Amino acid sequence: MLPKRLLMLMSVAVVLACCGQIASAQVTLTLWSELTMDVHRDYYVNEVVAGFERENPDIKIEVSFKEDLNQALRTAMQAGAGPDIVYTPGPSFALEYVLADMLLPLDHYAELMNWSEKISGWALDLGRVDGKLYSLPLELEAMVLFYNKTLFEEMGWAPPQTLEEMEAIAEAAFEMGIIPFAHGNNDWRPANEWHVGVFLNHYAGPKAVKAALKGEKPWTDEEFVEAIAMLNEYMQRGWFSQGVGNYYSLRGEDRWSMLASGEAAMIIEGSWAMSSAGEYFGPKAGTDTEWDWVPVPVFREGVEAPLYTIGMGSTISINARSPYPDEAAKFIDYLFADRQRAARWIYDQGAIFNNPLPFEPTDFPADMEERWARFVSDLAAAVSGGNYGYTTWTFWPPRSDVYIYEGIESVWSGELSPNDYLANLDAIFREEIADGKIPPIPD
Amino acid sequence: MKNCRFKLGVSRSNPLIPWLFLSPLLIVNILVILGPGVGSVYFALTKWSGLGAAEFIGLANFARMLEDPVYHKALTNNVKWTIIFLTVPIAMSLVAAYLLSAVKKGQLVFRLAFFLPYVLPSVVNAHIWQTLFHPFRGIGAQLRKAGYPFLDLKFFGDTNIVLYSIAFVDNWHWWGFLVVVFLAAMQGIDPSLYEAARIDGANRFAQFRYITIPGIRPTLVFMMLMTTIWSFLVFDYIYILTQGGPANASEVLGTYAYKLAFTRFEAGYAAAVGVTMSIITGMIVSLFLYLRRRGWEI
Repeated sequence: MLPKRLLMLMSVAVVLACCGQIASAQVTLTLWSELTMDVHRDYYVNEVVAGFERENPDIKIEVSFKEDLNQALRTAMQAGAGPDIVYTPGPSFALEYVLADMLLPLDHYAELMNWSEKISGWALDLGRVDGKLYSLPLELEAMVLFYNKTLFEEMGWAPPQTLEEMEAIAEAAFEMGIIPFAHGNNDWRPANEWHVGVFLNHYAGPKAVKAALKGEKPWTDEEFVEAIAMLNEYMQRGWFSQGVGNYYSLRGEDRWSMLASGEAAMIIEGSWAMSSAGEYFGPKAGTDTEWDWVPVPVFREGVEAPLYTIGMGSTISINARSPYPDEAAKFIDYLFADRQRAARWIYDQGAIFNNPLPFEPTDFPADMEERWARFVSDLAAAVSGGNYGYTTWTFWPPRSDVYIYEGIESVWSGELSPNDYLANLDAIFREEIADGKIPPIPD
Repeated sequence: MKNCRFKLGVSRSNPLIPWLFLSPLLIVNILVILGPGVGSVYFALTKWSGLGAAEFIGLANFARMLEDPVYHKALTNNVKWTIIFLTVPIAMSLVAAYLLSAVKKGQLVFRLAFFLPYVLPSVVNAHIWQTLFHPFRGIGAQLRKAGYPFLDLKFFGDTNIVLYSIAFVDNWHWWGFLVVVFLAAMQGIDPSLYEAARIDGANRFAQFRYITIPGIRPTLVFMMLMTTIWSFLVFDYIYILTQGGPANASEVLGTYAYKLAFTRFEAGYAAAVGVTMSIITGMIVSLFLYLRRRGWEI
């Protein structure tokens, strides 16, 4: 009996060892994400990541959600650790890791996996530093003009297509005690930069902004000064939440509740808000109003419309220290490989899953939410035509970016003139150019 | 017992034993306080983004501070904050504790009521006051609608009052803690002193001035010292409520250093700001120790 038992035990041991070997053949990749809403997190794990794992049973992805990804990532990467797949909050953040040699060049994978055919060319350019590809941008977003559709219909206002139409509505609303633009920054101080970016691009025009970003012209040029003066005038008129005091006190939920209730008429915000706008409108939210959006009009003659000031909510790269770069590249490829699959993610979750792919209307399910479908296809058309503006958090280097949203408060409080504000910005920007901190600007 | 005494005797005679017991704490302190502390001093002398190698630039970061208007504003706000917290909550809590010390029945209820805000997380306290001070739905707005606009202020949006509004919220949670601390100290004062004072005709104020204050002086001075130190390290309420804005009106050194390090990628300069914070608090502690050595009863 004893030898038989021993034989059985040995057989079990061999089987277990084989299983162990199979199990060890499976590669586990780590990934840190900064998605904040539970609904997005669940979808990311259960649909995006799980879908990849089904197609690649030899690769498992361990996802960790970080409340402050930038802080956690920086500490870990500096310590020589960090995840295999590196998400950052945008190209200017990714650049810092590139300069510290912490990200793997992706050119080999780009060629191998034919990314130039799959991903929009300008998006690939955003990840190139000194000719090498280090990151791919995700979460393509654009600043748009949201409005209370029900209120507009009641008032007989047409969605504004021009600056004159937008200002006429703002004036009429203000006189009636309706807030023209429900803006505020209490929960997110960098919200200031949404407006600075829109006014710079839509007044001065994207060509002027691009030239300045390349260091070919100073930020103190007349068109930029006039753009900031115009933004300041809107604030001083009380068009932004009836004054700067209210602006500093209002949070996101306040602003959208005011828009939904008809206390406010419009909001200029990023397309990410399309994912959550539904929480404030309709029977579910206890209102009988509806929202819609249009592109933000251009603010000066000669600036081509429609103009979308675009930004990237995040980037994805491979940690230079990752032992599994090939597997990590497979996951990155999965995010871009299939347009219809990526379109499905947008269909299910909204603009926050909008990867920069050359979408066509036929990529989306037929019953796609009309406002999202219109946004994605209109944006893709505008961007592929080359007419897009530059959001400050994507295309400006970090110090300049922070000065943009902090310094503008000194303009609003009267401590700085628009000219002085831009002179300070220009001085910081020149220092960052000298330090090689300017994020890639697509050609 | 005999055996036990013997063992204790051995441990007393071996000077390594206490160090052995202290060593885990010592190692943790070296790793998480001394090491990063020394590292901060080094990085304060560098130009460093927080990633990769740091470039040694000597005292340039400190020279930059001299011309940095935001640093000056933040430092000034820290001084204002210190003055506020050395006066308002200390005075409020001394008076409240003194009055409460005379309450025989129901004292616990008051103590709990005063102490409750202290145990609530700062995020919760901040949210409560954000709601109460909301410009469209808060107390001020409701009073305005009722015809009393005197409180219709932009508490967190007006550069002239924002620092004081945040200090008010912080004080709301803080002063109750001081009440409990001072009350405990007052209970250590010999009751016969008050009895003698009453016989001598001293009124309540005189008793407070000549018996209570001297009686709790070590506690009072210690809390004032800690208040000064904490005032230079303040961060949470300001960051939650305004993130240092608007227009840097509520910026303090703590929020400024955080933003420098984590949003502007200027970790070297942030370290320099942090070092100045440590120097200031170090000077305060040194002054305290110096005065004690000079014979001050503190």
